[in-house]
Amino acid sequence: MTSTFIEDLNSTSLNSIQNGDIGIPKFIRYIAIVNQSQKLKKYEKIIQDFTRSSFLKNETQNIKVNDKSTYITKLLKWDSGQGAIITISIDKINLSERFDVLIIGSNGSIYHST
Amino acid sequence: MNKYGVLLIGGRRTHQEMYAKIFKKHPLTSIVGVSDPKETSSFRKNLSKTLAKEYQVPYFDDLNLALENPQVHIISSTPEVEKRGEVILQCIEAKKHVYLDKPLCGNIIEAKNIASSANKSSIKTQMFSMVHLPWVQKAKKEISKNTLGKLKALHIENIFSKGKAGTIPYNKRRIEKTSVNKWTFTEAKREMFDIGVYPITLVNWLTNDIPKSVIGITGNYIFNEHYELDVEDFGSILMKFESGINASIIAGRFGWTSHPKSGPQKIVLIGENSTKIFDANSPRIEIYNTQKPFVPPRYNPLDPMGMWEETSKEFLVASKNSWQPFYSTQNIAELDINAFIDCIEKNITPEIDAQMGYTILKSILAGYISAATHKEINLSKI
Repeated sequence: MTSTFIEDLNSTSLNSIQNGDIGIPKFIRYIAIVNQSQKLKKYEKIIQDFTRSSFLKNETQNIKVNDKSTYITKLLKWDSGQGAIITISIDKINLSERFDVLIIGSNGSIYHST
Repeated sequence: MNKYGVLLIGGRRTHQEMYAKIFKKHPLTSIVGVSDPKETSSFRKNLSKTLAKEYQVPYFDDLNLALENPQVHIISSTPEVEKRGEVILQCIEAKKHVYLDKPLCGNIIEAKNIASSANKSSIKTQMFSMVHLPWVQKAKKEISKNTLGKLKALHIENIFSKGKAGTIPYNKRRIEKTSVNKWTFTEAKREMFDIGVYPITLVNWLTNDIPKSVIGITGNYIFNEHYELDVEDFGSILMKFESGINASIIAGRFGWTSHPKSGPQKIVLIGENSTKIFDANSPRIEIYNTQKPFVPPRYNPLDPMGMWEETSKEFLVASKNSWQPFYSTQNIAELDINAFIDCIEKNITPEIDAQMGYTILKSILAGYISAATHKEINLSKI
């Protein structure tokens, strides 16, 4: 089975984190712009799982704001001090998927912008 | 002398370093002196006297006397945050236009008094911000054009790529406090306050809405300097507005080597039909060549975060040349001060005045309370 772009993006980023490229991962800002409203929830789960894998455990606070079929934004906090802001939004005009990711570590950062 | 005489309050090792340059350059303004609030330390006074000497203007020991000077029409105000509440009120009461360093001050009661006093006066106040930058103006125009559909949410980030990353001791975690009394330090700053003010200002200005509540987190992710001073190097705030718009901001400092330019600066607008990202560093060209890669400056114990370039010339920060954004040549302070003078000339209210400064401060201080208590904070209770 072929992997999707977001799976490849997350797996490459996770490899970099595990290689110690940015020191200890501290904060993730993840924006996914999707082309179908059904993908909002699907990508929310994928990205949330990615943050949990990055910080090696589950968050202790998970705050969600959303607007039905337009967007989901989540602020996640970990008891060890890490945090994440996740936004998945719909683009009904430009029907391509896009990602903008910033992962901040103690020694450096990982960027991706589709 | 030009039309407006400008008194500088505060000197080197403050944003006055860049504001003074612009007030000197502007065709309608002349710098007429430098002063400090009462009980300013001799260390700070000497930094102000250095600036006065550089601009060949007198240093006034007594701020009250300086404010009585009829040649003073505008105050460029950059005193220590802890002194701003009293000083700005003095300036407004003296009927001088006030160009305010950001954030407005560090105390919500003082901020409310400043806003109230400014609202009753005919003088103009403007707080330094990013609203006049071309890439930011584009975002504002996009909202006006309504091409994305009704604005539903936005995300704004501003992270400074300065300081030596990776010095935070392993597994050290700071516990945030609900109230903050001290803002001014030598080695570092409270970054959710000092840098967070930029995206929070933009969120308020872009939405033109009333913030209702905030949820904040602070972090000590990068620097030992911040950890030792018991201040955060990073902050994130989720803001809910009365119209139903939600906004997230992230702000902080993450090290010279963590970004190919000055740091991420982005605005993401989410409309009901589409999402658009505005980036200070895009469009750009990228250059990879035989020149030496960027090397951070050696450690400056009086300015390890690289905040005061003019005062620390022996610790010169090399320029980063690999990214060349198309529209990066305009000076932020020049655009902002030009707009301020224009407002005075045309008798119009600046976009980011003291009232807006007060609104912004409420969200920041509530962000600290939220970070300390892990609760959503209703701004009507601040």
